[in-house]
Amino acid sequence: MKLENLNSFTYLIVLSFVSLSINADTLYTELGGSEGINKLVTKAVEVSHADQRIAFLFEDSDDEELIIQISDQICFLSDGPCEYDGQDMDEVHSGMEITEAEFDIFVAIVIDAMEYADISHSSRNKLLALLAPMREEIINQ
Amino acid sequence: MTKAHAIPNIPKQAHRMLTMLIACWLIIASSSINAYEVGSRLLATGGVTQIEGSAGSGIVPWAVLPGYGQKDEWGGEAFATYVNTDDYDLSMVGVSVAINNRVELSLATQILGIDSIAQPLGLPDNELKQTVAGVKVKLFGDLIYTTLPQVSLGIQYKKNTDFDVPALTGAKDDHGVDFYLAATKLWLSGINGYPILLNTTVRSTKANQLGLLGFGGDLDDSRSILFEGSVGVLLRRDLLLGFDYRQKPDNLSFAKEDDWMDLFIAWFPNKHLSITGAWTELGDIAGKKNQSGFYISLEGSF
Ligand code: HEM
Repeated sequence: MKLENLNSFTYLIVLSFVSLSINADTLYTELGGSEGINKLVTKAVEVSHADQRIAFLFEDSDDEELIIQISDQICFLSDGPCEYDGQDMDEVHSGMEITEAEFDIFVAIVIDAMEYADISHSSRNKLLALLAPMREEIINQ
Repeated sequence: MTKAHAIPNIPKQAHRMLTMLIACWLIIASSSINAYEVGSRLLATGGVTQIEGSAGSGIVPWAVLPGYGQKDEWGGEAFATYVNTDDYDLSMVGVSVAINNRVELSLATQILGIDSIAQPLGLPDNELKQTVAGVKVKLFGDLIYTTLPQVSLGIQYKKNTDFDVPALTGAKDDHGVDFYLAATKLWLSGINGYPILLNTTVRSTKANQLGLLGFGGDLDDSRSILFEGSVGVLLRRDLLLGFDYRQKPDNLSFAKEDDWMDLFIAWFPNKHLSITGAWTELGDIAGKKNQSGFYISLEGSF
């Protein structure tokens, strides 16, 4: 193979990678950007207040701040243009003693909220996959 | 021939009636229970009830527990399943409970209609029945939340109602105990956001055709260590498409026993109801070749 050919071959590969990464939507985009994320988080917080199984946990929460913080965190996790500057998950939820059951109830509410925000099944699962490993830091704190 | 039955002999008609009744109850119950009276685990995470009454898929027990109870909650399932192959039909009913998402207790009865071979072979019965009592304990892990899979250990105690036919085929015992170890994991991100479930089960058993043809045999009266597996994909939040494979022993000289497989789709309209349809390939059964056919299961859960 001639060197020129190799060069153009390499060039082609680099180009296709660049175009792939430009075309590939981030999860952030799939979630509907900041608008979609805000919609789903606002809904999830609203429903959490209405669900008698976990409402007591949210009794003293500052909802405006909570929505901003969780939205930022999801934006950050989904490769959006945000930094999450909040505290660690175990600190934030310490003293709440969130049970396994309450965690699942909240996750189900988040899934419903994502459906409400017209987020597709596959995008929903990609976000859930990012949240699921946090359970150990959140429950029983 | 008279024999004392430890387990009451339910006639086939009564069994079918019971199946129908349970099915009706499931539909009524599923439409009327308050959402808050159901367990907290996520939809479909209890799997369905496999043919021996344990939580799993069509023919394979998984490491998951039945119903939706999380820690500090109870869950449970009632099921009715009907399988119809070229020459046989198998009907099952059963119930199970899960305590604290840790321990499963299950009870199921199975009836295999063998009209197709009873007459030609001059067998004393035209059906084979057994009862299966099971216990399963979660050892560690969580289906969704931990890196390791959920791993459970299970026992199924099986007892034939009537041993005349199994004895004629060369079976040694009218009862037996299966032990199994199951590992199940669901990857949420799966393939491009479609969650993928994998299950592996290893079983130690002497059961011929689930135990319906007794336990142990003239060819082999020792335990077999067998592999069972399932793969599934959650096409939607409420729709699981999957494939099961189950190795089988081969203990009887009168007829060979084949591995089983099925392709299933389970629909979970809500946490109180699931409907599973499957296509099964059960191979040769008691001399009848290539038994394939449909499988339908209706389950109520909480
Ligand atoms: C993966 C799941 C979760 C994530 C990513 C998450 C995220 C967060 C974040 C970022 C905050 C901080 C808000 C702030 O700094 O003001 C927060 C606070 C809080 N979270 Fe969570 N959380 C999760 C699960 C849960 C669950 C399961 C519950 C209860 C059932 C819960 C209840 C709360 C409450 C009550 C607060 C405090 C709000 C306040 O004091 O103002 N969270 N969560």
